[in-house]
Amino acid sequence: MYLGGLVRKEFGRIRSDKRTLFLLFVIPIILIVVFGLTTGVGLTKFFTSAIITCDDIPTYDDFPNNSSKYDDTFISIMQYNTSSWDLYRYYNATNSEEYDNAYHNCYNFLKNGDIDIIIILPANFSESVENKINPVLIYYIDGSDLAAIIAIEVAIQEPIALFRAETDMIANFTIMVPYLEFDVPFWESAILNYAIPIILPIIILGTTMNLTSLSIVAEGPLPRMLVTPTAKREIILSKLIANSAIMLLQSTEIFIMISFFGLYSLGSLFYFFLVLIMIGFCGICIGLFISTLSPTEQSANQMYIIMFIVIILFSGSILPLNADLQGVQIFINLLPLSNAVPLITDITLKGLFPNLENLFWLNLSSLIYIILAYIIYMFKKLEV
Amino acid sequence: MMRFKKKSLRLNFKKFITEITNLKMSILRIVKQVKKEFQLLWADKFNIILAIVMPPLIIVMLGFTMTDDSNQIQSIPCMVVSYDSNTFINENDLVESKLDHYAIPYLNAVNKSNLLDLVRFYNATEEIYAMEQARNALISGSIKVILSLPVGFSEMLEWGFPGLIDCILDASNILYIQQSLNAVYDSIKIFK
Repeated sequence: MYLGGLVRKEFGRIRSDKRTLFLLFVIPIILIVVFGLTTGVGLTKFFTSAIITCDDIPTYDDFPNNSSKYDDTFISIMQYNTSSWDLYRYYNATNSEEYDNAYHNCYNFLKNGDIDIIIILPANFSESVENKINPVLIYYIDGSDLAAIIAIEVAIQEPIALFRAETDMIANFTIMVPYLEFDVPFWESAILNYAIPIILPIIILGTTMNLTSLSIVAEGPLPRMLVTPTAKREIILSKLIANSAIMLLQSTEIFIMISFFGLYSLGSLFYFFLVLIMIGFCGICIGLFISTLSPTEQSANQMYIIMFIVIILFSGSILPLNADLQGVQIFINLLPLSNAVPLITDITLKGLFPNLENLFWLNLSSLIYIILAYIIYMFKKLEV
Repeated sequence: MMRFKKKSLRLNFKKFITEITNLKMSILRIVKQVKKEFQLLWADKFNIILAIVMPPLIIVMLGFTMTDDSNQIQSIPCMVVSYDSNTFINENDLVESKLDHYAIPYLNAVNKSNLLDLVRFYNATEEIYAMEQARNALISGSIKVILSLPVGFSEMLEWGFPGLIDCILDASNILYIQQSLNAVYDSIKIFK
């Protein structure tokens, strides 16, 4: 049979599978529309705090002069002057009983997720400022919130710096002024554009793998076709051509949709489109590999899910990975997402030419999967 | 009345026995179904391998590749560009000064920090394209942060004002922004 005939047959088979076509063309649009409509806000992270000031409690020993002059200054800064903080409530504790009650309330706020941090101003807070000694702040962070644990120590430097400026305690003090390079401008959809390098490859890989993962294993008349002069390599090639054509349409559709929802790209849109196609092609090769390897449809579905989980988990974009071991590095490189994410990031946020090493690994992995699929299919025994 | 009660009791007992028998049969049917399902699963060895072998294999791989090891801190590659040796002109009295004695202590602090990996130090007074070279390194991804000591860094600290360190971060990967900020803050804590 001519290759053209096989490709036509493959198109007919894909067209008859309405469920896959829906998954391929409608689901990406729905995902992009939902994501585009829900991620219009910026990235500014606000921390919410509750303050307990014990500054009114009398102090002795090293701080004989009682003062409670500066706690209000700090509270006012937390309430009105900071850009990344929000004051939920503050308590003025004048004795240990009031402190216990205030702490109990704040603990409940922390537990319920109303606040991220409890800040306690000690009894000698104002006295320390007056004596030009660095006052000590005690704070309790919501340890279940990993983002808060990582960020709060640096974020709290903002109110501290403002307080130091207000109280003229600026000597022996160094602060950093951050400038974000290659970030998404605030007038663009920041979250959407930061998510594009991860979300788009996941959508394309997921749908193209699904498109082809059943294409060989679930096609009943295929073994009978082998009685005719049709060779196995022609069958594989025809499936590759037909599915690639469908993938090309899907990538174009995704490219247009994402442009509608505020794609921010410093680099060439042509390279961006090219990378989307390469990712889709890799998805097709993996799908064919799954389809030839699996003995039944159920196995193919199961393997598709496991493969998809492995690709996402080991991409390095969701979990930080340590690729010091040579074998591990090669394994990670052979997973398409670990190359697709840096490629799209480089093009959209940095405006660079696609990294050749990533391109090489992405295409090499496609080649390896399709060769494996061919070899497995060659040795697969089929009952006619 | 008594006879009616007796009859009702007998009927209830019969119903109870029937229900018990039904339940027993139902359990037997379920057991046979389960046995059949096991045979079905056992026949498809590929599925068994996928279901039982793959999940632990993924966890073992994750164990090999995860970096969250307390003995192994991932330091952030950075470059320090110092403009501190350039001439600083005080806006109030137009007096010029060339203090730069806080640049090296800060550089030492960066070296001491386990969270930062100093790739290169540039004295921008001597190398006029220092920032351009550092930016090229940032754009290529070989470093994640440029730390720039501005003109007057030492003068400010010397005169009792806060020292400002410009921290230029690669913000293309949102996962690393906070990590980079924390690393720079660590060097500032050591500098203090």
